[in-house]
Amino acid sequence: MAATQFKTVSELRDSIVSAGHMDREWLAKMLHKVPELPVVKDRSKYLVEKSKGKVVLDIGCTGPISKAIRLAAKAYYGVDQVAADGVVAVDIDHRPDQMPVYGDVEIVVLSEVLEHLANPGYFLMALKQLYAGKDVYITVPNAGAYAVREDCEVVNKDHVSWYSYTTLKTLLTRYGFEIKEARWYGAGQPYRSEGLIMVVT
Amino acid sequence: MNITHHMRRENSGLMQTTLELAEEEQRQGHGIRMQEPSVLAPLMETFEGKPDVHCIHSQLAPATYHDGVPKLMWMHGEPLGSVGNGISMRAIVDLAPTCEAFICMRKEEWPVWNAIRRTYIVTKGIDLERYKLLDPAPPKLNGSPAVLYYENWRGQRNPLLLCLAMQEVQKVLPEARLHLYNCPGGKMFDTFQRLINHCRWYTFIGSLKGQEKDVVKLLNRADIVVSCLYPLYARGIEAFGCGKAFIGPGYKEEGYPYTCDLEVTSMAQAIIKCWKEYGQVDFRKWAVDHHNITDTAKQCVEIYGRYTV
Repeated sequence: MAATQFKTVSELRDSIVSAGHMDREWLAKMLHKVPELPVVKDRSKYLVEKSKGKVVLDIGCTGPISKAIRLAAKAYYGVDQVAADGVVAVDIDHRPDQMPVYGDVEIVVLSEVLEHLANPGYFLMALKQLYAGKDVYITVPNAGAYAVREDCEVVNKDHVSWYSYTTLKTLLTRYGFEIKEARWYGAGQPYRSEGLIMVVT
Repeated sequence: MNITHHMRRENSGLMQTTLELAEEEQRQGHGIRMQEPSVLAPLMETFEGKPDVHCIHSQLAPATYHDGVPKLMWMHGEPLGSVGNGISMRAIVDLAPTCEAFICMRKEEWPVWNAIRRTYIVTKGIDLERYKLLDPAPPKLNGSPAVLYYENWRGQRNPLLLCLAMQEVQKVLPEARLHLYNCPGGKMFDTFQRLINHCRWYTFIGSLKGQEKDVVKLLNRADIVVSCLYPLYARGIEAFGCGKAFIGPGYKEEGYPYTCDLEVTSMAQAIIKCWKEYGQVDFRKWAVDHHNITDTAKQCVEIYGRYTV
């Protein structure tokens, strides 16, 4: 038999009762409908498609997706912890204000970066200031996909946070970004999808 | 028999009734599955595969609409309120064609539900293994009698009339105190706090408190539990299980001596009568005879069985 969230009726009851009195104020504050968003099966293909023929600033640009974006882009600028060909080294967690400003950038890609940052607010504040009006493609792992297998939680050891649709939207709007589009990516039912994409400006 | 109960995960009387029923069905040897309508994975289950019957307690997952398994819908709410909230009755009527029958727990409502779909009546039971007299007894709430209100408060469902009734009670029983529990806070708390101060009800209101997690202990601390619900009586009968009196305008079971109308004088008279005769009625026995979840589960399974062959 598949493992269920609760082993007994008693456990289920305790969970519901301890969730508190669900009056309207509580519901409005605590319960947020998970939206039905379009699903992108392959995050890599999606980002490459969006980068085709564009001048791209890729923040956090190690890995195969960044290589593919570089090939597809009209022009490519990278920012990462370590400098490389076409990549500038910036500690975006502590000194995001040191990010270079490229006037011809058309889109910014921030793929699987936010969850590594201890100071995401400072970074987003700087990004908004330095690249105001540009489309920013943000992807993060989805908090709804959080899983525990046996006695192990499944999470990249370098991550410091999980974002859900609601918390990511709250964070981005708090720093002045407007959400133009949102999608789930990867496998799983929508609210359990591997990750979340938001296009903001 | 394998039974799936479809229930939203909300803290309510409906939830308590449904879980107690499922627990008892399990005790009686049936397989049970608890399913939230909007989530595919069951919350808990003791069997695999398709159930023999679906029991709907508010909503049903669309995937099960046409799965060929018999469906029975439980009428937990009362008919007028179901129309009044603008949602429940419409949902019931929409789901009615997919259901074999309805099940309700109060004979007064039967004509309404039966007009929509064939409706069976079962005893409204409580889990008497859970709602019982505690030994040793916890410290009593102050007052003679200590009157307790612990319904879920929302909108017109509040203890205003009981406060007024207690004003009358106190003229006859000066030591009587009212304890208001489960207040949700916010505007409701503010309103009652102002009423208590302005009307000087603090002379007989012993507490105005929020949710009490240990309901059994709370009931054991009271003498009389009073509800202001009408025409239903919801979960107040849990008091009987704990050996305490229960008075509610919606509770008019044949043979029960402490009934009242939804009116201040009538409620006050019932409280006074109940206290003057306290000890003459064995409330625990009343629960065993009239509100035993074991009987409810047996009756339900018998009804399910009519549709599973």
